[in-house]
Amino acid sequence: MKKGLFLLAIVILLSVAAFANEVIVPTLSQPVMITTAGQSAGAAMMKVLFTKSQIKEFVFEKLVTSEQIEGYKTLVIVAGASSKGLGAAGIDLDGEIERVTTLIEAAKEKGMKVVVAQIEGTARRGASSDQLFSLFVPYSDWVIIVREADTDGFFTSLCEENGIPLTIVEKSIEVSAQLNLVFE
Amino acid sequence: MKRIVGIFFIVSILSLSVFGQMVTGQTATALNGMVASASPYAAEVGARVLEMGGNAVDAAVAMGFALGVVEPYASGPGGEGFLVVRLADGTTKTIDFKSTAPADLSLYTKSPSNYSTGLLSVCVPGVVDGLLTALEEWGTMSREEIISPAVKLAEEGFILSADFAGTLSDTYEKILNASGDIANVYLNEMMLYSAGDIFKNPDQAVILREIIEGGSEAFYSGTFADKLDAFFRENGGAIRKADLENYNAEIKDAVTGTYRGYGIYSVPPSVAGAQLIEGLNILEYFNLSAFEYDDPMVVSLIADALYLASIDRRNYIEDSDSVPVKGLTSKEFAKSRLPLLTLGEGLKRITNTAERNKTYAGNPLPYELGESYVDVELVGSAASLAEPAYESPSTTHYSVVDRWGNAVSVTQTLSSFFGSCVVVPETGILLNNEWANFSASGINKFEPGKNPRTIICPTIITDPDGELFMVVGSPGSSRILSMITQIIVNVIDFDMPVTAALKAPKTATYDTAGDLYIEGGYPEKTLKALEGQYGYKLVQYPGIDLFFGGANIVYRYPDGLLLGIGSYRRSGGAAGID
Repeated sequence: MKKGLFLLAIVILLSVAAFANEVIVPTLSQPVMITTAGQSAGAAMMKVLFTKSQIKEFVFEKLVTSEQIEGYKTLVIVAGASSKGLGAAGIDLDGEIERVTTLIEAAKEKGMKVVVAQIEGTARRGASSDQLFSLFVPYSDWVIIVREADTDGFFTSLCEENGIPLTIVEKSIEVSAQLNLVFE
Repeated sequence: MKRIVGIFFIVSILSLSVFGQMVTGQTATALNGMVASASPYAAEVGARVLEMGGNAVDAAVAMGFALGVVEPYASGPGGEGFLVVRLADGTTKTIDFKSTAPADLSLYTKSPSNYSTGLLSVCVPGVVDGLLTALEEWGTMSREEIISPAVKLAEEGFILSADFAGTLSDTYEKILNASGDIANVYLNEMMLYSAGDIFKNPDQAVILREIIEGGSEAFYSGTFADKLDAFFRENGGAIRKADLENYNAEIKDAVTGTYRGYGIYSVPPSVAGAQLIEGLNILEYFNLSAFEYDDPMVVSLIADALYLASIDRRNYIEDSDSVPVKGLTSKEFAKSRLPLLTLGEGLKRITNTAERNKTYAGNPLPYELGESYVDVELVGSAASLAEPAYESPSTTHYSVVDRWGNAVSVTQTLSSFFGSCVVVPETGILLNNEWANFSASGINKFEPGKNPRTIICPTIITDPDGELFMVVGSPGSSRILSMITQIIVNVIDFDMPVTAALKAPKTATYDTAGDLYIEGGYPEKTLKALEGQYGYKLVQYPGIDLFFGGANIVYRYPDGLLLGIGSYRRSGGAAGID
């Protein structure tokens, strides 16, 4: 038990150490709207991670629009461009960027917190995915990623430049524990 | 211990001196045998078998089982395929191990396209019987020697490739929502595996060990059959143990043709050998070598020849002995298709099936009897018309040549990547979704025991002197024929080195596509001419892309040197014995 607490403390310390500017992770509230930016599998993974967490009020909508987020407190955007996913959703990258931009603007107007996540590692670090992160991270209140996504320091720099708290986990499965820490 | 090491050392030296040294890479050259596949792991398994003294069939069968472990989303024991073998003495045969419809079809109340995943999308798998039939007929090694490498990969694991991880990612939600064991086998605590992770499938290893012990019967009547039967009964599937027990792969004659003196040995119905030959026959009447490969007129001619051949395929090719193969592959029939081709304009794509057939369908039937073009009154045939087939992007191909000159060309598939998304619990075996390749009506309509028409096309080519020239095939569903045809034309007409022939951008066309798919790399002026002058609606890809297929080739130079090329579009691998 003691060992478990010690490990948890180290994890929390490591997380905190990742915030170069000592920015604080905000406390997040339910209900949560989970969506994707780029239609990769990450958002569906995030839904599974929420299911595994203690958070109970969440909805996953791949193509959610600004009209559909009324009443939600937190918007979680799992970004990653997938040409197959975009094709299946019947939307191109430009259309997806427009949808998510409008969504974030609406969320901000409604006072919602915005979370950007990258939990698919190097698989979603191409030019199109990076374009999505560059566009949306600056508007977020918290960024959570897997370490494999930041081997080049892309997210560390992006979050430092914009003063966004960044949490890095080793594996996607660890996201659930982080969600338990930040959600009330 | 020292003694064992000593014996191992001596065996290794003997092996090196007698059979040569293994060379590997995405491309590789060697004199004493060569394999190429979509997976470097499978390529190495095949080359090891050649190194141990096995022949091309031994190596191919070992690769077939290994691919079912390392590339399980594309093929495996739950899938199907076709094999072409050309022995050093020139004997050429094929093995049809296509999957079949079960005996009881009462559960199928909707059109086949409605069953693209789940238990009702599965046909009775043929891979195990097909591969073991090849081994028994022409192989020299034991099941244990041949299947053990696959067992080892399944038990000890292997490094997950970017292709594997990417395909998992593309299929994640389907896997999450599927029945059976698929999420337990292919997800890591319900999360995606990443490229570089170690992946194991111990349940599959158990089934493979049973196949080693008991052969084909152990798979079709043993633990796997029992577990499948119970799972399908409980969850609304149609296949029963009796369907598995009744399955038999068939040895068949190859479909043959020529292209500018080169021999083409390909696969009979219900797959696409006759279509490949028809397309090549049409192109043979044009002096393509007077042009460059990227000339818009050449691009248009190839696209339209293949468009016509694909229309004829849908009207005539089925799982039946009555397919007019001789007519479809007749050079005289190809002449009957020429008046439709106009050099200054592309054929207008027609998406309505009836209208398309009225405008473009050929009639190969008179040419079955050897009639000449001038003796045949040309009439538009509107034979039994079928609805468009489901177009999937998956499948895998591998090619093998041994030091004796035996050659094997195999294409295996589950239909879509991850097939039905059904893994029978406690077997680790992913099942196909071939059912969606049947039609609701017409010649490809589902019937008990019938196999659905598909477009796989493993092929072996000989040079004009009858010497082995190239072993070729590709995944890519409806793009398979475009890929193979353009490789053949690039090598034979445009005298390209094979590596360049593969790397060159490709187009893809088929009857149900209204557009011409085109890879990046063609000159801007070609694209402009194709859209403007020729009237094609282009769907452009930024570079070379797996959508167009991923050919794995063994090419034989005139001096006997073998060149293996693992697909550039799918991180393939080649391995040879030098």
